[in-house]
Amino acid sequence: METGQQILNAISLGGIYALLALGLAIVFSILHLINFAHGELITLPAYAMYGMYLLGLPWVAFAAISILVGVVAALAMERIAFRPVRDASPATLLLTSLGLSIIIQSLLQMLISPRERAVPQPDWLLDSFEVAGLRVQAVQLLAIGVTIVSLVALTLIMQRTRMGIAMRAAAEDFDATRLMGISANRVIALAFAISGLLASLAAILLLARRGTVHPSMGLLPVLKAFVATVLGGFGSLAGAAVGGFLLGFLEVALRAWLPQDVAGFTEGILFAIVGFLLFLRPNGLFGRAEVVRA
Amino acid sequence: MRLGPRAAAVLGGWGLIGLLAAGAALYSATGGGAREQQVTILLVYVVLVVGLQIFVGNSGVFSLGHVALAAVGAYTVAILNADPQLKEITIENAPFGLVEVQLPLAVAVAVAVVVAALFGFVSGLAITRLAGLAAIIVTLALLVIVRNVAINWDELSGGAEGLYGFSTIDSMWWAVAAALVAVTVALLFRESRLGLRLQASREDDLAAAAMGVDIRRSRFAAWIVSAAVAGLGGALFALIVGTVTPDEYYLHLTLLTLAMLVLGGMASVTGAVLGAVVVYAGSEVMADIGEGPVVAGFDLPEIVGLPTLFLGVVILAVMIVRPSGLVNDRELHHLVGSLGRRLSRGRPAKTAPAPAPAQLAERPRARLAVAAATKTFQGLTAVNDVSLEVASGEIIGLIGPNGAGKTTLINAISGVVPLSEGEITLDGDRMNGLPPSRVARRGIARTFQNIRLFGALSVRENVAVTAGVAGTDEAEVDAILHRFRLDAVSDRRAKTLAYGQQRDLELARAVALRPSVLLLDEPSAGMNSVETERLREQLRRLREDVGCGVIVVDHDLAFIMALCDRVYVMNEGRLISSGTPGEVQQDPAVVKAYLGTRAAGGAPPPPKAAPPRAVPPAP
Repeated sequence: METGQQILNAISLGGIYALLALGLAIVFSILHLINFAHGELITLPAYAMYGMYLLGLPWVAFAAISILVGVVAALAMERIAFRPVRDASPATLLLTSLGLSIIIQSLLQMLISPRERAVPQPDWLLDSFEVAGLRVQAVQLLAIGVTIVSLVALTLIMQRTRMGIAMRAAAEDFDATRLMGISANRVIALAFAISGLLASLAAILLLARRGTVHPSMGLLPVLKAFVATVLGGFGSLAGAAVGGFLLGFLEVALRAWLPQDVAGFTEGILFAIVGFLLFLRPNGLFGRAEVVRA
Repeated sequence: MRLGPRAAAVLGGWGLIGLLAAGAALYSATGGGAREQQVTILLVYVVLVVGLQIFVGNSGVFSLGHVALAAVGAYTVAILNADPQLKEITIENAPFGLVEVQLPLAVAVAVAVVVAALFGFVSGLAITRLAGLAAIIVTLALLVIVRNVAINWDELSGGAEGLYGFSTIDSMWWAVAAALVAVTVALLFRESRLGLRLQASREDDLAAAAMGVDIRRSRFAAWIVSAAVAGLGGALFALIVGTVTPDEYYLHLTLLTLAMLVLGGMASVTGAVLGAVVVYAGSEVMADIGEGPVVAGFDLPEIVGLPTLFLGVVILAVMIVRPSGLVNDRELHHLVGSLGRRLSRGRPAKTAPAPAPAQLAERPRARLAVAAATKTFQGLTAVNDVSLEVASGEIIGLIGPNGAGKTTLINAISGVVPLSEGEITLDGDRMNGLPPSRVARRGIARTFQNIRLFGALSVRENVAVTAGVAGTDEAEVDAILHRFRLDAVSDRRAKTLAYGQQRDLELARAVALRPSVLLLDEPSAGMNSVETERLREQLRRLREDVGCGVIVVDHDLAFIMALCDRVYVMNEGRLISSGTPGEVQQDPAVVKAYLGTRAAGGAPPPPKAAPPRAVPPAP
């Protein structure tokens, strides 16, 4: 039973990482931007929920509005910070996002508080009940459900819709796609909107687990998502999702099975395993080696 | 007197630190102890950022792990220098009898540098295999792991509370000395052969490998040197703060040092120093404003996090406005040098007339043989069962329509793509399966269809990279530059040259490798008839005095026919004809490949003497 319980944990945690990793990968595949400010797409919706809570609105309203905030924040980031450097080197793009991330974090510190603020979650979300002998929390089911629905919806969008196909084409060869008459701005905006949407879904789930907001609450999840994306093979959407789940499983497995006296080393061991996997496969588990054009 | 590049660099570096120290002394003399403390911290940041620059600036590979290297230095100095009585409290169960040890401060710092370098050696074995994104993640992993170990291995590290009770430095001159050492090491590394090779790989990794640069080895060396300097910085940081805790050596310091580096210009040591000064001074000013001082009678409110906001704004602004940083890749001695030239312009040149250029040395003779080479790309057979030979002193041509597999064959010979079947040998030694850098070191040099120079390096440096690999001396570098008429532009950046000069430079760079065999991929592309004629002369002369064998791929048939001893013709991956230019021109199979089936019957033979281009050059 213990194992079943852990698998449930792993799926719900891995699902959150997968949502974040997918958002990172979708933007990366088109712009070659590693968006460190993706963490703020968790933090901002979470603070929106904090605001809704202060206003005394019901949880469902929080959730809906936080999604809106996530999408708008992602679009604004693209418009304000990333458009001016769109054609720059990946290093420039990365540092731009790092600067943006620091700015948003310090503004939240200044304008709201450098301390953690509690956002009480509704009881039903944290209630647990028994399913097939397993203790299941509603938030875990929600996480799994949201992840499945998002993955299916994203797959359908990418495979079936005109814009989805345009985005896949842009990931293959952005310049050629533009020459085919597809608006670069629209493709990029859509990619950011999707990444903001996925990040705000992850924010709702993370907030339900931790119950507080903090200016740098997005940092650790986004670092993990970043790791998941690289592990899966940067730019590969399927790889990002798999990388997210893999990381969730590794983390839960280490926490569950490491002996008590080395439990503190969980994080270190997790990153050591990731480093080792990348050492073996520098392009990620599902990444393609770059084609040589000499 | 003309200084060598290394001496000039070192003098420039000393001048830089001299200026900084003078400014620092002046600043602290006018404001007392608190100011001296500030200046000391700044100088320690300089050491940390310069340490980061040695790796990141030269390799172009980002590292988020340097603070972990600094942490190793900090913990080492703290453990070795702390008072044993205090260690009874902080780390009473420390292994190896470290509780009793108390080394003098200078010795402890020296040991810290060595330990950091050793740690760099071990971590570098894995890290320097990777570049790009994977490198960012793996260096981040290093940072997380080191912090995690520091928190949990409390017998040695004192856990989350950390260590204290060691000496602190009471004078800024310690930090000045350390900054001097760091800047000297960084500038010498930049000007060293290894540093130059690493910069070449930063500019174009494929071309660097094809010119014999073992990129991984260069990165590894840079990582170790960089670790030693970062360790020195970490040790001094500990000595200023007076405690060492895991949280000090984590993301904040990582971001801060990274911001300093990119603001100044990561490819420059001067930039690293300048960036540290600007960011640190800015942060201090912001911290003062954030504390809510009284200005002109108004009591300003306290603002938490203002220095952090400043950091973010600086990074964002630099990336949008000037992504290569304040000074790009220039150093102080470059600026002084160009100023000097500007001042002396107009006066008669005092330099002695250039000595007669040395003759190019003859290359070792060799024979390259390609036997039954086949290369398939996922079902497409690009090169199919091709055999050919070239010996020193021979020039052979390789022609065929677009998509015939010529470039793939060149790539296979130079080791850029692995062969699916067949064998490539140089004097009987198997070449296929070797990495491009080893193939190049064995004496097979190449140029690229779409010119691949080390763009930000100077013309001379481009040639010096391969000259260094082959052990060619300075005089011969001069001779090669002269030969290709590049001596007048030898200080210019390669990417600023005109197209024709870029082609010349790529050839000069390949020649400096002392190749036995030279592979030229469409050397005449984009040239007019005068330039093509000049290139032909150039190649003939190379054959005569250098004696290397040459394989030329080109679409200009007149050029090939006039130049080559033998010509091989490829079509759809196969060799369809070979022989002297005359024989090949008469071969019906060649006519068919070039002009199509209908012409193959009784059509006139392909052009003989100097026809217009039979096939337009590929773009």
